[in-house]
Parts: sequence; structure tokens; C-alpha cells
Amino acid sequence: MSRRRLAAMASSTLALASSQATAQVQPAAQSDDDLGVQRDNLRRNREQLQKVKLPMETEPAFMFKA
Amino acid sequence: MANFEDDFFFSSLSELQAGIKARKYSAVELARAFMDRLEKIGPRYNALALLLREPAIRAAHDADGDFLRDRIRSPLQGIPYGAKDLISVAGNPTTWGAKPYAAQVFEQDATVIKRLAKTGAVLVGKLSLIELAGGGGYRFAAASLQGPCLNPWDRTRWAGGSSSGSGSAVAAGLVPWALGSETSGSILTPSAFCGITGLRPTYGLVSRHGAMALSWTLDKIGPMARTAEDCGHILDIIAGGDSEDPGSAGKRFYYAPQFAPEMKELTVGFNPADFSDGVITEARPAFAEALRVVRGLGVKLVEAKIPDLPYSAMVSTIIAAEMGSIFEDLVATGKVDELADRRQIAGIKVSQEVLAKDYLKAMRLRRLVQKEFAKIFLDIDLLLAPARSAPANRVSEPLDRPGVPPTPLIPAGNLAGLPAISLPCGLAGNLPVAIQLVGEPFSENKLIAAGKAFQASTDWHKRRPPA
Repeated sequence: MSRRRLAAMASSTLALASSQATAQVQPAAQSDDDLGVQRDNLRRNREQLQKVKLPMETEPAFMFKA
Repeated sequence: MANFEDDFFFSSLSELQAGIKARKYSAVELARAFMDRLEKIGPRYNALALLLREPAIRAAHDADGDFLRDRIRSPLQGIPYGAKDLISVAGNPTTWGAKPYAAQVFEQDATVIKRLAKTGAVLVGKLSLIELAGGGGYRFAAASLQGPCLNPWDRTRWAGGSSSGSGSAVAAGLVPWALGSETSGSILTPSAFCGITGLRPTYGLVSRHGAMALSWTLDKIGPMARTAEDCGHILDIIAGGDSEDPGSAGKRFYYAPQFAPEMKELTVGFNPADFSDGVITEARPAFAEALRVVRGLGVKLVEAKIPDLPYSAMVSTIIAAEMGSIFEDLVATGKVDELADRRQIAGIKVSQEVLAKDYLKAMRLRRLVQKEFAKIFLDIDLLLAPARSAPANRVSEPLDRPGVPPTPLIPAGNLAGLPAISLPCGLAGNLPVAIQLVGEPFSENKLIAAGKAFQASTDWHKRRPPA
């Protein structure tokens, strides 16, 4: 079974919110503020990436190999 | 029944196995001793996710049988270890440190667990981590199913993430070594914060089959242990090709200290600014001393700089894009809201909005990073830098506090898939700090040799937290 399939299975089964979760975990409500911070991060990252110019022939590292 | 003193729990792998071979204690007694300690002390640090007492005793019993027949499979035979709880162990919960997955059970062991079992290693427990390895960008150390993982050197401080429990448990002598994983910094950071030795292998050297995927093109699994030598023995077992892992490089690793280069043959590059302005003031004396020790090893130290590229933006974009796909259902079902850290929840939700062109740009830039590092390694063997610019954060404070210089070699090295080792090099106040050495792909033997030489000249890796 591939890791992709493992992750997909786990996400889709989600029979998972269980009593085993400890009381130490705080309930976390959605926060517009946090979403805003993360969207800002995304935008800032995009701007930084755009600043670097690449030759047109540079291909992405899709099949990444070290 | 053997009587184990406190110091015993900080022994190296070879010391522990020598005791079994000399019949001072059995593997079963050793496993019981570490598990008792894990059970008793582990909760003090929120390091333990799950104790595996019964299977561990069975495995240790088998190892004892092999020892009796003088059948020695590996330096890890009969030695207990822990695994970050994002690595599957068949029939037991693998929670990924996250409430939505708290009851998740897989039918198969991860490849690394299988490899270790075959050589007689004894898995005694699953160890805590930052929920979903922190890919969403968490803000507090409490972003974990077990709560904030505390640093044995100072329980008001964090153990580091995301392999928090692995770092904390090794540092506290709850396990002799542990499996961690790194997407960008998750082995090196807790190793540095907790004063232990951590090895991030080359991307693709160790199979990730059966481990939670956070980023297919960045995830690595590696050892967190007491010494560089221990890391070598562990990597020898866990490395190797695996057709079940699409990212596998299909290569083996043989720990070969007998062929280690002499230090005088090595050229080590460093950027002097990393050791001054690049670290907080209190840590500078320790890093200056580390530099002096490295120079004293006889290596040729030369100045080297990594190119000025937006490494953090690149790695964040790649993780967000890949994680966004991996956890698409978690967001769609709303289960993401059960996570502990609001910033992390928001990060995972926003990851659904990453533009394809940004991901592609980051992946194209990655080619550039690889080329630049290849050029750097034409002239030098290893890069040296502080592992982190400051010691462990306070648990009570947000992790994005200002005033801590970034450590660009961590995202840069991960983007290029390079191996690295974190070596404890001193204290800042009462907290450990560490250097990192980074090598070209598949240069782990060189890294370990240099780490071993450093540890032959220092005793920071032997220091232990106050009881």
C-alpha cells in the first residue's frame, strides 16, 4: 500500500475522533484572525518566490531525487 | 533481576548490548527497565504516546533466544527504542499526534519498523509529536495530542518539534534511541533543543512507507540517539530501497567506520556570521568554542556561504501544496477543527488555496538550490552551522516570537534533500545548543565520521539533564 493511499484511507475513514484524545488538547474554534495570518503568509511567500527569476527551461523537481 | 542505576539509562547502544552479551542482564530485563521508566517518567514530559509492553516483551524474549544461541543479527539486537507516533505499528493506534486520528489503527508495520524487528530491535513505545508533524504552521508547543512536550533540561521549555517525544525521551533516558522524521527541521530541532544527536538522512535513503505523509518530496525518517556512532548503526539497519515508497532512492547504507576519512582530509565550510550575528548573544560562547574544537580536529576550515534564496518561502509553499492535497478530506469533513492549535487549523485550511503556479515556482527553484549546493560541494566536504540559533523556546510563549535569527540551512538542506547531523556543542544558560553538519547526498558516512571525531573531543553528548 502506498503512502498516498495510506494517507487517503486515513483521511476518508475518519472514524477517528475518539475518547482517546486527552483532556490536554484545547478545543480550537476557527478564527478569522488566524486564517488572515495564514493567508498573509501565503501571499508573502508568493511575493518572495516571484522575486527570483528563473530561465524558462528550468523544470520543476517533480520526481525529486537528492 | 538486574538493578539499574540512573546513569545506566544514558548508555550508548554498544554499551547496552555489551551488558546483554556479558549476561549482566537479559534483553527482557532491559526492555522492562526502560518501559518502567517510560511509564513512570514519560508523562512528566508528555513524551509518551503509547507503551507497547506486551509486544516489546515478546520481541525482547526472542532477542534473548538469539543471544543464547550466539546469533547476533545487529548492534540493535535486544536494544529498546521508541518511534514517533506517525510511523505505523500494526494493530496499535497510530495517531499522528492529532485528535482526528486518535483511534486510527493500521494493519501493517511501516517498513522501518519491519526492518528493525528483523534485526532484533525492541520497540517499547510510540512517542508524541506535534499534530500532523506541524505542517499547518502551529503557534504553540501545545499543538499535540499529548499536550506540550517538555524539555528534560528545563520543563518550562519545549522539547522542539515535530519529533518532540523522540527528542525528550532520548534526552531523559527513557529510551536509548528513537525514530524521528523531518520534513524541514523536525529531527534537527528537537535533537538540538534536547542535547542529543540526530541524523537526517538523504532524501530517499530511508523508506517512508507506513509513515504519515506530510510532503511527499520532503519527508525523511531518521535516528535520534546519544552519539553519532549510534546513529550510524541505526541508519545501517533502517536505510535501503523500498518499492513501496515512490521516493525511495533504492540505495543501501553500510556504516563503515573502518573506511572513515581522516579529519585532515576534510574541508569544512562555514559562514562566520552564522556564529556571531546568526545566533542569540547567550549562545555565542558555546558556538565559538564549538568552532574552536572543529578547527582543532585538523579539518581545513574555509569560509562558505549558501546562496541568498527564499528558502523558507519555498519550503512553506511546497509543504502547503502537498499537505493541502494529502489532508483535503480532513478539511472537507470539518474534522480539521478538532486539532489543538488554531493557527495550524487555519494553515491547513488555507493550504487548499495554494496556487499551482506558486508550487511550480517553488519546485523549479528547488532545482536551482540543488545546483547551487552541488557547486558548493565541489570545493568542500561538509557545511558547518549552528543547528538552531537559540536554545529551546519557553512552552508558555508563542513559537513565532521575534528576535530569534532564522536558520536558513535547515530549509535549504531539506529542499536539496541533503543529509545532516546535529551534535550537542554546549549550553546557553542551562539549555543545550548544537551545531549541524550538512553533506552532499549520500555522504552519511562522512557526516558520522566528523560527528564521531567531534564527540571524541567533547563530552556534551554525554551530559544529561538534571534529575
